[in-house]
Amino acid sequence: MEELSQHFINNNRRHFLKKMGLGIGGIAAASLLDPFSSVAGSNPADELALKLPHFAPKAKRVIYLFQSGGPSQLELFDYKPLLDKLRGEDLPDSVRNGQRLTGMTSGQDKFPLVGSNFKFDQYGQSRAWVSSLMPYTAKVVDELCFIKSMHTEAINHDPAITFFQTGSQQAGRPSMGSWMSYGLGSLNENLPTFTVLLSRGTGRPFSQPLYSRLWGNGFLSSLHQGVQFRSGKDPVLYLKDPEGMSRSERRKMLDHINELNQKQEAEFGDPEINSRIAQYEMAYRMQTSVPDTMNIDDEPEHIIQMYGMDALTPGTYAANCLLARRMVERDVRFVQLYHMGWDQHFDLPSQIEKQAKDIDQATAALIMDLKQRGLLEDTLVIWGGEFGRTNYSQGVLTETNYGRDHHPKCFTMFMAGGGVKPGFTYGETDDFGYNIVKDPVHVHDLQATVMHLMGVDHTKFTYKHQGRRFRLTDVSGHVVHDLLS
Amino acid sequence: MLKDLRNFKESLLFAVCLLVSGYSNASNGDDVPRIILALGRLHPLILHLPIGALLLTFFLDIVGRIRKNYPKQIIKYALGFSSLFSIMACVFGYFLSLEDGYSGKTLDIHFWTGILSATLITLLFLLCDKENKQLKRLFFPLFVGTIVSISVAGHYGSVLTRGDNFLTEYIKAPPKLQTIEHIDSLNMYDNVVLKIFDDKCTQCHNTTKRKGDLALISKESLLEGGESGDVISLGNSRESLLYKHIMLPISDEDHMPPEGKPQLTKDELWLIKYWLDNSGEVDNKVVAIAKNDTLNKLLKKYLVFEEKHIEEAALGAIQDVEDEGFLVRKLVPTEPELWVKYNNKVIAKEAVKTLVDLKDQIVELDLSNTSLTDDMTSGLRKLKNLEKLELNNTQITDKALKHLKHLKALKILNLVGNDISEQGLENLLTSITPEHVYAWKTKIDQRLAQKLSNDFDVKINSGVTGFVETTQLKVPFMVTKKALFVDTISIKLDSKLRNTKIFYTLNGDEPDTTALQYTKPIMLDTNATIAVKAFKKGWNPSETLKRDFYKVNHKVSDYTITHQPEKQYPGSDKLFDLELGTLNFKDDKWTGFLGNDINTVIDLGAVKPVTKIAVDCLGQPKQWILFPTAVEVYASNNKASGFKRIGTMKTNKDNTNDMPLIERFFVEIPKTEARYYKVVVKNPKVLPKGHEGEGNASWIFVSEIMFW
Repeated sequence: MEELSQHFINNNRRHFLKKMGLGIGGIAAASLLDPFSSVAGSNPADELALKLPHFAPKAKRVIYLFQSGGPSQLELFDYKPLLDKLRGEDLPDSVRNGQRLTGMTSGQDKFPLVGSNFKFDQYGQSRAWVSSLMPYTAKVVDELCFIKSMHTEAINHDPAITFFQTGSQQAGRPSMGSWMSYGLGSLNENLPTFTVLLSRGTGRPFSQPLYSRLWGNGFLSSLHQGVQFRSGKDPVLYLKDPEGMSRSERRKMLDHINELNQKQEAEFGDPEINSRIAQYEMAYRMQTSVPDTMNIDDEPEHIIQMYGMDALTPGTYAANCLLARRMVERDVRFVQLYHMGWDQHFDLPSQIEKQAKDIDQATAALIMDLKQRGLLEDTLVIWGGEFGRTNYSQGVLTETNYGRDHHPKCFTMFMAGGGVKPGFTYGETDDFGYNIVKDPVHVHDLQATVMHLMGVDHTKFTYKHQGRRFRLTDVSGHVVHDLLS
Repeated sequence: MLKDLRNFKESLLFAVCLLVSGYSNASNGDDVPRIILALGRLHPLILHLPIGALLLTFFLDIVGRIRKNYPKQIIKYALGFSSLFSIMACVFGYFLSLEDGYSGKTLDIHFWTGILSATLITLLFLLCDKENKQLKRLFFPLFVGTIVSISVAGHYGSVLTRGDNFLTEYIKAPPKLQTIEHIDSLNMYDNVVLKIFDDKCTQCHNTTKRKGDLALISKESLLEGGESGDVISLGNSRESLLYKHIMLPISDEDHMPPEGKPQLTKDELWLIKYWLDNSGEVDNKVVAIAKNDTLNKLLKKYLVFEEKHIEEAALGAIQDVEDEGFLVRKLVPTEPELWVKYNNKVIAKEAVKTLVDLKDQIVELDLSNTSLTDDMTSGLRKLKNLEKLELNNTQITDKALKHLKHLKALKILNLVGNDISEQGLENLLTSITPEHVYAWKTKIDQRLAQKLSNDFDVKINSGVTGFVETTQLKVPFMVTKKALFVDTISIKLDSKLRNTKIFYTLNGDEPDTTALQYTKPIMLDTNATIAVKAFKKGWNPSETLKRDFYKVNHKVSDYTITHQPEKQYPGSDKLFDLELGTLNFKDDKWTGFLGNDINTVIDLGAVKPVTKIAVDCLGQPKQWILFPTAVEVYASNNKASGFKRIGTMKTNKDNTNDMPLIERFFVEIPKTEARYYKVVVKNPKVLPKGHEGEGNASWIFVSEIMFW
C-alpha cells in the first residue's frame, strides 16, 4: 500500500516537472517540423526554436564529403618541392618543434623527409596547385575554395573525426548535421533532414570502421540523428512493410498508434513521445520517397559518364555522390558522406593512387552537376579528412615506396558553392609542409564558418543540457570571413 | 630715394629668383632650417594682403578714370604695397612648399602664377607714373591681366589646401547618398572605409597634397603606403601604422588627424579596426551579419540604407498557401521574407494564384519539377520582391518569361530543362538583369549563352562541356561469387549500363567483339578461365576481367578436426563450403587457427580416387597471420588408424609481404584410392625473429580445402 502511494507521489512529481520544464523542449521539437503549426504559434517555447537562422543564409544545404583516414595533403594539393630536394634527410628538430607523434612512428629513430611521388601543376584561372592524382578536380579548381592551413587537436582517427563532427574529441555530443537539423529544421517533408552515406575506398580496403555515433544526435532529440542510407536492397533499414500488408492498413495502424501515443504524451509530457510520433510519420512518407530518391534509373547516360561508371555500383563513392545530388535536389538539408581508406601508413603511393581514383571524378562531377542545375548557388560542398599526414616517411623509405603517419598540424580541405569564394586559396604552410605559416584555420573555425554560411551565429546557437549550454564550437571558433564571397 | 628703393626691390627679386633656383632641385623638409619653415607658415597670412590691395587699387583706377580725377599718387603707393607683399608671399610660399606633402602639378601652377603675379604687380608699379603715351595705353590691359593671373594663382592655392572640390562642391549636383539595400554583401572598403577617409583624411592625403607621402583616395594609393612604408597590415589592426596613428593620444605630435582638424568618432575608429582585423584583402565583403551585431548597428547609423519595408505576412494567408500544397518557411524568423516551395508534382492554377496574397513577402520561390504551364505564371508578375525563382523542369515556354519582366528584384532565375529559346530569354533580359540565369537543357546552347552573357552582363550557365572526354566502361560485374563448383555452375554477368555488349572467352584469351557475346548466364561443367570485356558505342571498352573457375571432384560433407578454430574466426565447415575468402580476413569466409596446425580427417563416403589437393591460405604478417610451413596429406581406409603419408608440400614462404596475399598450395598425389584422407596444414607456431610480435603464437588462416 505504501509502495503504491509512493508511486503516485513520484509519478505526480515527475509529471509536474516534465510539464513545467522538459515538456517545452518537446513542443519546440514538434514546432521545428512545422514552424507555422498552431502548436508553435501559441507557445512561448517557439521563441527559442524559431530564432534561427540569425541572418539570411548563403547555404541552405550542405554536402560534406568526409575523407575518413586522413588524406595526404602532400600528395594531393600542398606542393612542397623542398621535400624532393631533401628526400631521405632527417626532419630537423627545429621544424618538428616537439610535436607529439603517434605510437606508430614515435619509435622510429629517423624521420626521413619525403616529397610526393606525383607530379604537381597549376590549373585554372586561379592557378591552384593540384597533383596528377586528381585530374578531374584540377579541371574544376576555379569553383573551389582551398584551405591549406587546417589544423586540429587530435592525432588519432576516432577522436579526430569525432572532433570534426561534434566539436569535441570525446563522444557524446551531437553531430554537425544534427545541430543543423535541430536549429534550422527541415526543408522538405518526405525525407530526413540529415542523411548519411558510407563507402569504402579501394586504397586501403580494410581500414578502420566508422561508428554510427558520429552522426548521432547526442543530447538533442533523436529526431535529429543522421539517417544512414545503405547500398543494399533496403536503403533504410526496417522501412518496408511486411509482406501482405497494404499501405492503407499501415496508415490505419499508424493512426491508432499515434492516438495512443498522444494520450500518453498528454499524460506524461515526455518529449521523446512526440519525437516518436514524428518519426513514425516520417517513416511512412519515406516508404515512397526513399525508393524514388535511390532509384537512379532515370539518370541519363551523360550524367553517368560525368560521375564515372562507378556511379552505377551501389555503395561506391561515385554512387553516393550521385545520391547526394539527388538528395539535395529534394532539399535534404545535410548530406554526410564518408569515404574510408585514406589512412595510408605504408605503401602510400600505390594506395593513394587507387583511393584518389575513387573520389576524383565523382567529386568534381558532383560540383559541376550542382552548378549546372543552379544548386551550387545555395549548396555548400565540403571536402576533407580529419587530419593530414606527415612530411616524413613512416617505415622504410625506398626509391618508390614510403608511408606517412598522422599529422594534425596542417592539412588541406576545400569547399565549393554556398557563399564561399570560388577559385581561392587560403592559408599557407612552411616549405617543409609541417607547420602553418599563414592564416591557420582551426576545426572550430571551420565549423563556425560553415554555420555562418547557413545563417547561424555559432556563439548564439546553444543547447542547455545537464546545466551547461553547449555549442558545436564549444568555447572557441572564429568565422573565417576571408573565405566568404 | 625712390630710385634706391626700386633698385633694392629689383635686387631682392633677383635674390629670390636665385634662391628659388638654388633650392628648386632640393630635397625635402628635413634639411631646411626651422626658421625658413616657420616663415613659410606665414604665407597664408601674407598672401591676402597684396590681393586685397590690388583689387582696391583696380577699383580706384576705374573710379578715377570715370570721374576724371585720377589719384595717381595713391595708386602708386598702393601698387608699391601690393608689390612688396606679393613678393613676400612668393618667398614665404616657396618656404612653405619646402615642407613635406606639397608636390605635383597643382603646386607648380600655383608657384609660377604666383611669381608671375608678383612680377606683373611690380611691373605695374614701375609703369604707373610713366608719361610715355604708349606705355600708358598698355597699363590698363596689363592691370586686367594681373588680376587674372592673381586669381589663377589664388585658385590653385585654395586647391592645394582645401582640395579641388572645395569651390564647386555646392555648385555641382549634390552627390547621391549612398543607398544600400542590404548590409549583406556590402564592401567594407568601398562603402565604409573610403567614406571615412574622404570625410576626415583626404584633405591632406590626396594626390596633390600628399602629406607624409601618403594618399588615401583609392585602394591602390592606400596599398602604396607612405614614407614610412605600408600603412595597413590586413588582418591585424595593431600592426597597422594607420591604425596606430589614429589611436595615438591627441596631444601626441603624430596623432592623426592633426589637432584642430575634425577628429574620427568612436564609431569610425571601431569600423576601421573591424575592417583591418577581418580582411584578407582590402575590399572584402561583409557577409551575413546578425541583426544585433555591433557592426550591423554601426553601419546602420553610418550609412543610409534604403529601407525596404515589408509587412509581416498574415497568418491566414500563409495557411491558405500551405493548404494548396506549398511549403512556406521564413528566411530569417525575425524578418518577414519568405521562402516558398511547391511540394508535389501536379500543380493547379488556383494554387499559384494564392501566392499573390504573399506577394510582398515571397523572396524565394521554388516551383521546380512541377506541372507548371505558361498560363499559370501570369500571377508571378506581382511578386515584386522576388529574388530567386526556380522554374526548372516544368512545362513553361517563352510565353511564361513575358510575365517575369516585372520582377525587377530578381537575382537568380533557374530555367533548366524547359523549352526556352534564345529570343525568349533575350526579350526578358532587355527588361530585367538578374545576376545568374541557369539555362542548361534549354534551346540555348553554350554559344548562345555566351553571346547573351556578353550582351547583357548576366551570367548564363548552359551546362558543363568538356568535363569528360572519353569514358572507359567499367568491367562487367560478376554476379556469381563462387569460383568452385562440383557439377555445373551458372555464371551471371551485369554490365550495369544499358545497351552495353559483353563479350567473353572461356580460355582466358583477350575478348574482342568477335568473341562470344553474353546474352544469358554462362553454364560451365569444367575448369575454365573466363575473360570478360564490355563494349559500347561512344565509350572506351572496359578492362578485361579474368576469373578462374574450378570444378572439384568431391564435395566434402563429413569430417573431423582435432583443434577447433579460434572463436573469432570460427566455422570449420567453411573449410569445405566451396566459397573462397577475400583479402579481408574478417570477411567471414576465413577460418583462423592460433598456434595450432589444422589436422582434419575427411570421409569421402566410399573409397574414391584423389589426384590433387589444394589449400587456400592468407598471409598478412602485419596482422600476425603467416603462411603455413607445409601441407601434408595422408590416406587410409580406416577412420582412426593406418594413415599413410601420400604427399607433402613445403610452402617456403618467408612471410615478409606488407599487403595481404592469398596463396593456393597444391599437393600433387600419386594416384591413390581411399575412403579417409587426412590433411595437416602446418602452423609456423611462433612469430619469427624481427616480427613485432616475435615469440608470440602465430595465426594461420584457411578458407578452403579442395579435392580433385
